[in-house]
Amino acid sequence: MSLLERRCRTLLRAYPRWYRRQRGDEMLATLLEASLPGQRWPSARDTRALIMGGLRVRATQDQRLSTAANLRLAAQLGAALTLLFLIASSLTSAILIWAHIYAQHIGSGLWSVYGLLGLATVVAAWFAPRLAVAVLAAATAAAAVWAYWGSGKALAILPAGLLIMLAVLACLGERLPRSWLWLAGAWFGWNVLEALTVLEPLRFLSVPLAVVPLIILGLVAGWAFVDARPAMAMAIFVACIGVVYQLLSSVSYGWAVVSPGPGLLIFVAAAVVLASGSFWRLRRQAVL
Amino acid sequence: MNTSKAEMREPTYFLLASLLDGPLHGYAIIQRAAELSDGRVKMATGTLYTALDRLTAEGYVRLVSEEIVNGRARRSYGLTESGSAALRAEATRMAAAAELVTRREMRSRRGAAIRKERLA
Repeated sequence: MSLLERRCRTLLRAYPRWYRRQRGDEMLATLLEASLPGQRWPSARDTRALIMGGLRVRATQDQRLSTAANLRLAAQLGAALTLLFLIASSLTSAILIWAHIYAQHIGSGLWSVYGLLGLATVVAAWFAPRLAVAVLAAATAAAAVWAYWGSGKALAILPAGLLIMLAVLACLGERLPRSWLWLAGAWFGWNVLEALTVLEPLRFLSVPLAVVPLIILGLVAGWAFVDARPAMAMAIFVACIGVVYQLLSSVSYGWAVVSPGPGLLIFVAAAVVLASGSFWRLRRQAVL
Repeated sequence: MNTSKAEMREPTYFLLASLLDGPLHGYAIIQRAAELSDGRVKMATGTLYTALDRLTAEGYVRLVSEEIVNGRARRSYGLTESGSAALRAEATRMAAAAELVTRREMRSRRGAAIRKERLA
C-alpha cells in the first residue's frame, strides 16, 4: 500500500463505517486515479471535500430512519447512560466498601455482581445478540432488586425499569450505533473516576474531573446540530436521575429524610428544555 | 423523486452533461466535466460522490454497471430519463436567459448605430 493510499484511507474515515463499506473502495480508486505520479499527499481540495463530505453524511445519517426509530434509539442510549451512572456508583461503592472507606451495611460482593452484570448488559446492547441482551437485563434487574433490598427498596424500580426498557427496545428496534460508544465510555469512565477521588491517591483528579461533564454536555449540545439523538438521551438521563431517582429516594427513606426541594424543578425544567429542543431538531433531521 | 424546478448549480449541470454520451465511472466523470466546462469545473472526489448520492436519490442518475478493476469496485453511472429532462430544461432556461441579454445588447447596439447615423 502506497503512502498516498494510506493517507487517502485515513481521510476516508471522515465517512461513517456503513458508507465506507458501500463506497470506500470506489472513492479510493477515484482518488488514486486522479492523483499525479509520485504524489504522496492528497490535494488540499480533496482533503477539504472528503472531510466536508464525511461530516455531511454523518450529519444526515439519522435521516435514513423515521422519527419513531430515532426516538427508540435515543431512549436506548438514555437508558444505557443512566444505567452506566448507576452501575458506576454501585461498582465504586463496592470498591470503597472493600477499601474500608464506606461502612459495610451489605456485602460489597452484591454491588459488584449488580454492577458487573449491568455493565455487561449495556455492552451487550451494542454488540451481543438480542436474546443475550434480554437474558442479561433480566439477571441484572434481579441483582438490582436484591442489592437495593437492604437500603432503599423503591430505588430498585429505576434500574429495573431502565433494564426492561433497554431490553425491549434492543429486541424490537435498531442496534445502537457504534459511533456513540465514545459517549458511553467517557460517561462511565468519568463517573467511576469521580466517585473514586475520595481515595487519597486519586484526590488530585477531583478538580480536572469537575470539567469533564461540562465538556461532555458541550459536545452533545454541539453534536445536536448534526445528530440530536444523544441530546435526547441526555434529557432522559436528567429526567431519570434528577427527578425520578430523587422522588424514589424520598419514597424509600421518607419525605422528611430526603426532601426533593427546589432542585427538582430545575431538573424538570432542564429535562423539558433538552427534550423539546432535541425533539424539534430530530423532527427536522428525520425523513419520515 | 425531486421535481423541483430550482436552478441547477454549475457542477451539477456539468456532471449531468458529462453523462450525455453514455455511462462513465467516477474519475471519467471528473475529467469529462472539466473538459466540457473548459476547466472551470474541477470536481474533488468527495464533492463528486456527494453529488452522485444526491442525484441518485433524486432519480437523475443511476448505477449502470459495476466491475472490479485492480481489486477495487469501479461503478459506472448513467443518466436517467428524468436526469436528461432536467438537463434539457436547465439548458433551455440558460439559453433563454442568455438570449434575453444578447437580444437587448444587439438592440441597444443597433439603436446606438442608428443614432450615430442620424447625427452624422
